[in-house]
Amino acid sequence: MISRKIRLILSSLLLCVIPLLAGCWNRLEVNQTVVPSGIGFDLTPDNMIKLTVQLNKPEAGGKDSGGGGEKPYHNLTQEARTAVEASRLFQLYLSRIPIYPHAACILMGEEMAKSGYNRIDDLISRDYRLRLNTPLFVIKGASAEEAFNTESLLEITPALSLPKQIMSQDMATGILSPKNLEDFMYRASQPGIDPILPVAEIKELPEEKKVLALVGMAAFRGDKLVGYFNEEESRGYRWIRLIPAIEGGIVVAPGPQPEDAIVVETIRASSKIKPKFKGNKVIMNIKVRHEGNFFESNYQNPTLNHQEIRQYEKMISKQIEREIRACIKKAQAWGSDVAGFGFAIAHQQPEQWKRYEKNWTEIYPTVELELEVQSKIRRVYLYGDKFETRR
Amino acid sequence: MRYLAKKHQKDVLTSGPQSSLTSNIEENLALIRSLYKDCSDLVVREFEFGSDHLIKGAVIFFDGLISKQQIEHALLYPLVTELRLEESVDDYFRSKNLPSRIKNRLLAIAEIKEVAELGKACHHLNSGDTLIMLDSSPMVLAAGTRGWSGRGIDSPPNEGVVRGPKEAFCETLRLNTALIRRRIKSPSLKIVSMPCGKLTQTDVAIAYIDGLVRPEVLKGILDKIKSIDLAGILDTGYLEEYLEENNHTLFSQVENTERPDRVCGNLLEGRVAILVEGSPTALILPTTFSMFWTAAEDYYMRYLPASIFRTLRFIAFLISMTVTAFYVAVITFHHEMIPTSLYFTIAASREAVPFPAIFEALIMDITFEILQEAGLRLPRIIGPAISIVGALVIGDAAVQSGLVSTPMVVMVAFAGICSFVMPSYNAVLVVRIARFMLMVLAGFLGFFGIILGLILLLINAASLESYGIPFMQPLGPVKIREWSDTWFRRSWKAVSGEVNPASDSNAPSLLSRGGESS
Repeated sequence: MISRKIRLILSSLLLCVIPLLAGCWNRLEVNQTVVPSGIGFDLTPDNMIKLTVQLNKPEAGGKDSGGGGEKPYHNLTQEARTAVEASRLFQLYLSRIPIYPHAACILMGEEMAKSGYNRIDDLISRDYRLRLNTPLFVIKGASAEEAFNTESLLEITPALSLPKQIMSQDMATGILSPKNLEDFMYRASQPGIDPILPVAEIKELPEEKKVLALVGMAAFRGDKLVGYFNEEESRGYRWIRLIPAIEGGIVVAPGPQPEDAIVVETIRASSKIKPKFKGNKVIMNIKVRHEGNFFESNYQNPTLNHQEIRQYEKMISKQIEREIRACIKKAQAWGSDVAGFGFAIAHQQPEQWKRYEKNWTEIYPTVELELEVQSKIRRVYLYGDKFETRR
Repeated sequence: MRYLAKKHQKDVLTSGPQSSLTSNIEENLALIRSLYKDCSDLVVREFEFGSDHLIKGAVIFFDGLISKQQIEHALLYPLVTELRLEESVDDYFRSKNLPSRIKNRLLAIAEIKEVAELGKACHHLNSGDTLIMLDSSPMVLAAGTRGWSGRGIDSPPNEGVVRGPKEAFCETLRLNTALIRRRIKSPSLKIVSMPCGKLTQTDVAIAYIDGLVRPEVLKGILDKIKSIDLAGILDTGYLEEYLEENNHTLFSQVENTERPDRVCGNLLEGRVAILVEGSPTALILPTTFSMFWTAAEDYYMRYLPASIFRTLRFIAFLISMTVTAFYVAVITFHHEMIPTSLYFTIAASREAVPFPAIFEALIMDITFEILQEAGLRLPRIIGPAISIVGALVIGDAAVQSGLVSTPMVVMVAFAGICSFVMPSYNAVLVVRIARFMLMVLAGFLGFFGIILGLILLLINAASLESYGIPFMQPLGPVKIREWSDTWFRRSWKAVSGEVNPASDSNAPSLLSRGGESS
């Protein structure tokens, strides 16, 4: 019989051993790691997956490359049959382990996007190291690898720059909607809604500098890229689905002459999609409420009285309506339900959705729009009347 | 070095004065002399008094413990000189009860007692009283002539405040009880005293407010103190371990303070304070967890800033315990938790460091602890030297030498600073030890380890109890009504209606000043 005391000592010793059992499993010192700032997926002509990773040089840290003109990052590419294989093959010439959760963005080359994601969907859905909130981009007319080889004007790497670009453009212009991995995967897997991603293009600046510029949105049908929205259509999409909520941006409405325009800055906006059924017709009622501050008008001397303001509000509403119609028209032509009309039916009227679910692809292009856009101008900034210059 | 004393200990402790006093002064003096053999500080002043036939008497005291002036003016002078001038002097000597007569009619000393037992007489003598022995009487008079020089009332060196009283306890028990009595002018304030320690016979005073204290708490404490069988009690710290119900834990269940105002505040909450002769710290019982971050100043500031800073202190308590562990866990296991740009910086600064993060953290923290310990024991004169060298081992030089990384220095220093926010030194000790424990767990198991460690600490704290009061009350058994003095303090106005001191039926809540009605 062991005495109580000895038993107590033994059991506490056993408790002390517990941490040793796990034995620092998964321990990874900072010195053994390297931070990838972006991951890119491409498809080679012979149908192999080409994985590109932009790695920050450890020494460079957060500082500049320290003169010499040497870039503070490396772009590594690896071709393989599968993405996981490619990512593992990196390790043959890397001394450190990349920490993928730190990747600031994921880029899709155009070829990859066009051919569909089924080649890599296991990786992006299963890999715990990819964060669901990582922003996704499609590279128009180029591969992800080429995109990574550009330069960033202000950030250390182009991959770090893109996510910031899309956030800042949302505040300034409100054209593109930021989209992340989670949203993409959700849309790709749900019936009645198709993925849509922001698009970046390689632009050449004078001095032969290549930079990435955001140009619009890319519409998908299922997992395949079907076409690019231009600026107006991208804006149209922004009004329909205000997730994430719009942070600002401007609305530009045309005036009577081609060169005339008014500018209103958005403060907040909300939208609601409601499916209606009229006989065999499916009508989508989209209500958009928009609030903004009057900013600029370049064609008349507005006194900004009550009537003027009402008129401007009407112009803005019209413009928003025009943008939405342009977007949906393109999307319907491509058969890509980016606005999630089917999704709206499925969630709001599940019984009806049972009727339409099977042949939604045929019905979708025939869906009619019923728009109720209401814009309100709240403030006019510092000066009430138009500032009059001496002539 | 207790082993040095071991051989004789038993002998000393058991051999109190066995024989008793007789009527013969010569015998008695011989007895005292033999008892106090080799005690060079004992003074025996023999004299004779009376007019017709002289009677022998003696005054016995310890030099240094008494006030000589008092003995000369109030004791010796009347006995030797004045008595002779009295008319009925012979009555004195014919009277059967000579000592009591002298006590009642001759000696102008405030505190004087007749003692028959040798043991008690010795205790008086040892405590600084003067014994007056008279021939033909087995009774001895013990005159209260204590008067030694000690440290006066100083400002509290460890519990300073910006606002509030700046008095601290000193080493003299009577002075300390006076400091309490001065603040609570009520007959309800009781100060029970008892000798403790077989050899040292130290006076232990237990202060409480009758009617506010829970009887079972008081009884428990008194019983515990009575049961102590140590040879010597030199500080309140000796009692602390006896008074705790569980020694095997990081959390001290006895709070100590050097501030009389803090003691009084706690007495008003129904707690019990214990003072020991020769110790400038008082113990406060029963202790609850929220006292860890309660400063005396909280009650003197307006309640709003007091509440905010109290919450801040609690946050600092948590930070101090976990921040290094958190950092270690994050950079060894959970890299994705760090913002990317910060990760770059950390990576760059760790590039040259060859050790694993946990090892680095342990080195740094041990260095820091050593520095603190050195600062504590350091003679004042070489103080500046250690601060210069200290800045080297835990500062920029350590980083530049490639032993540690900058963020680690920041974390360790931050944790250190946070630990000094605690008003209670007991809390600092908890934090300093728990920090190591959590750090090691974090190094092995990451966040899981930290959570595991915190859960263990919490279970431990929640299981503690002192005299029927749970340590975590009112946070542990959740009693939101009693939260008026925990994370925050409600204004005095808000709790003033609840003051109900003298009633015993209203069992006082322990956590509101003045006792919340339950």
